[in-house]
Amino acid sequence: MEKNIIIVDDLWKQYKLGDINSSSLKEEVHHWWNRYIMRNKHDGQINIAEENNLTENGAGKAFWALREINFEVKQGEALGIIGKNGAGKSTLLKILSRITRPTRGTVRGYGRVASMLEVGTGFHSELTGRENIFLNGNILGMSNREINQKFDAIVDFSGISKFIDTPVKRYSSGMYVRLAFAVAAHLDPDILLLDEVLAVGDAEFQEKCLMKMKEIINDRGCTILFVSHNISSVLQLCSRAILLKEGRMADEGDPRYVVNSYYELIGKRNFYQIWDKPEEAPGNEVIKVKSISLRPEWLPGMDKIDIRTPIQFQFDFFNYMPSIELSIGVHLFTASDECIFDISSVSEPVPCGEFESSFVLPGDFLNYGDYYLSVMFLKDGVTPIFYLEKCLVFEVVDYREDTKWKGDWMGAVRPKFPIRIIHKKNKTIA
Amino acid sequence: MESSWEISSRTKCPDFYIKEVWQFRELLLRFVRRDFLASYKQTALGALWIFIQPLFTALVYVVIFKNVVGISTSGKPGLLFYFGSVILWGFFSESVSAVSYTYNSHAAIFNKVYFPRIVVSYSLLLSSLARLGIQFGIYLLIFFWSIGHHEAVQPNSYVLLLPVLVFLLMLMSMGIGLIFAALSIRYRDLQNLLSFLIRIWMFATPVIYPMAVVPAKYRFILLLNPVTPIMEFFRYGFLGAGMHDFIYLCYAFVFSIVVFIGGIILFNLRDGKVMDII
Repeated sequence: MEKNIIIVDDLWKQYKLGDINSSSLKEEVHHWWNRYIMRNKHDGQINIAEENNLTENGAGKAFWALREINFEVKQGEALGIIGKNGAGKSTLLKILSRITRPTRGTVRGYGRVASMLEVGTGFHSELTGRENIFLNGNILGMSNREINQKFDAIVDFSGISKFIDTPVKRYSSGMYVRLAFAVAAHLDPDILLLDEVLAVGDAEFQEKCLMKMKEIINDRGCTILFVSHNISSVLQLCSRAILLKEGRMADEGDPRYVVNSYYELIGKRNFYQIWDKPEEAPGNEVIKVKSISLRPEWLPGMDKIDIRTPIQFQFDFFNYMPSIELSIGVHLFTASDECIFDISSVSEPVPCGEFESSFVLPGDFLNYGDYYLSVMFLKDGVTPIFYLEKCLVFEVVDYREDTKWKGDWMGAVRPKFPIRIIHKKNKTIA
Repeated sequence: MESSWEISSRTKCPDFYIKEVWQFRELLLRFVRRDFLASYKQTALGALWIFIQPLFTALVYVVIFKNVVGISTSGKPGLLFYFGSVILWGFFSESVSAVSYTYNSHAAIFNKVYFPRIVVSYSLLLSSLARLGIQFGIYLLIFFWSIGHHEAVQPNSYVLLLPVLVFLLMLMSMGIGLIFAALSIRYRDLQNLLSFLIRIWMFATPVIYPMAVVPAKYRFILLLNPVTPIMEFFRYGFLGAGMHDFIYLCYAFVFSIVVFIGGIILFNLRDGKVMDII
């Protein structure tokens, strides 16, 4: 049985919202008195009910970014932390890396912690690549001796040895990121905290980064906590995952299982939604959505949406405003929130009543992966009236023929544009 | 057993981070190195600026205050008189304002990586100290040249107090800087107040005039000022003219210790909350 290397015990984190500077000096002093002088009575515990009362009295809005977080991480484990934006993932990582303190609860751990919440922390643009390797290395907690030992490996990994004595302000953004990641990849901590740092550089470099991470986990027995939107890298890297929802732990366990909960959470595989009661339907006084649906046009032998499948999307809605000039915009996103396209209908004057709109996403267009769709209703072609976010979520699976390539296929789209090779018979090779 | 650690909401008892600063000494020196390398990149004169600026300031003071206005330099060579106080005061004011900007100047790093944040404050203090060292080297050159040329220059055993004087200035500027760093997290106005305060403070310190010319009824202001005895002891030691009453040096000593400890405590109390506010 491996021992626990991190123990998170009943962790809570509160943020005060609103204008922080508006609090008066008197309140400050009062707060300080309660917190530091009176705390002996309460043994350092903050009474949450009391804090919430404070909120109701309007003395600054409070917001719990994390509530009741409990988990343990065993040595050598790679724990993925997933959740929607604002679920508390980054807050958790910030507490674990000691950047901010929890409001309640404790984290106990053993060994050296290194956090990579971004690449290139502390890089100084005027200094050379060489100087920055030492600066960044020291900031990340490496000793000079350690950096000297690994210097060649770092430069080698970054692939920019020619420019090592050039100030980094002259680097391209790609070179900058390579060097920065190279330093971080050569950290040798007991616990490594990672925040979506894989989302840097080109696809080839991302792949290299991912390989390096795997190597770190497998070879060095390093414990990793990895926060990401990128489900496939969580599945590749992590042996266990935690799903956060509105600051609470919604699920924990095998990543494949937890990822399913995540998909449920973001509404994946909602192929249609119908709102029978207008009062429950999304919309406002101008627009009410009646139903939205996704209909794959199945080809023979297909049971899942794959890259060949054309998909029909349909939105039924009511318009309550007479003689409005209306148009609909459709935004398609990848699961990592990158927009693939933003298209819209022609803006036309329409009367009140029920409407149906649809479009077909052709086959051989999207690459495999997870996608979601948002619909925007616009007035006069420019003014948004209503935005229905993430209303349809679907997955496209891979299908290959006529290719020997077995690896990952890059890109969000995979259109079937023919690429020809023509042999020019009249030219001979000199 | 590897080192174990714990994170909680509680603020540790104020300590002086001696252990941490030692543990992060390489980072501390790296920051000092960075400040030096980065400040003088793409300048023609490079590190010469470290002493060109105070030297010219002192020369201007000689022309304006000594020759035009006619303020006494206690019969000592003007350049030596002014240059010494300019570099000491420069060290003090530069350190105070640099340390008070600890959070503002390094927010981007603090927001992504943890290390004891006071390491940055110490590195800023050390950068100032290194510049003072270089400036003092130039001061010594002028000083030794002057000994042979001016009979008025009469150094004595008080020069040995120099490390004490610099140390007191370090404690004081670190303490004041930390207090302002901790308080200005929430009240940004204090940053403006501080730069103003330092300018006023210089006039209440015998920088451009000797203590001896101050009328008796204003003397108490200067004597309340803990930087006064440091300036005067320095002048007395190197030039042979200046106030050298140990009572006032003791006062400066007590003041420095109190303000340093106060600064550390306040900084420590605030440190846990900073990143939620800044």
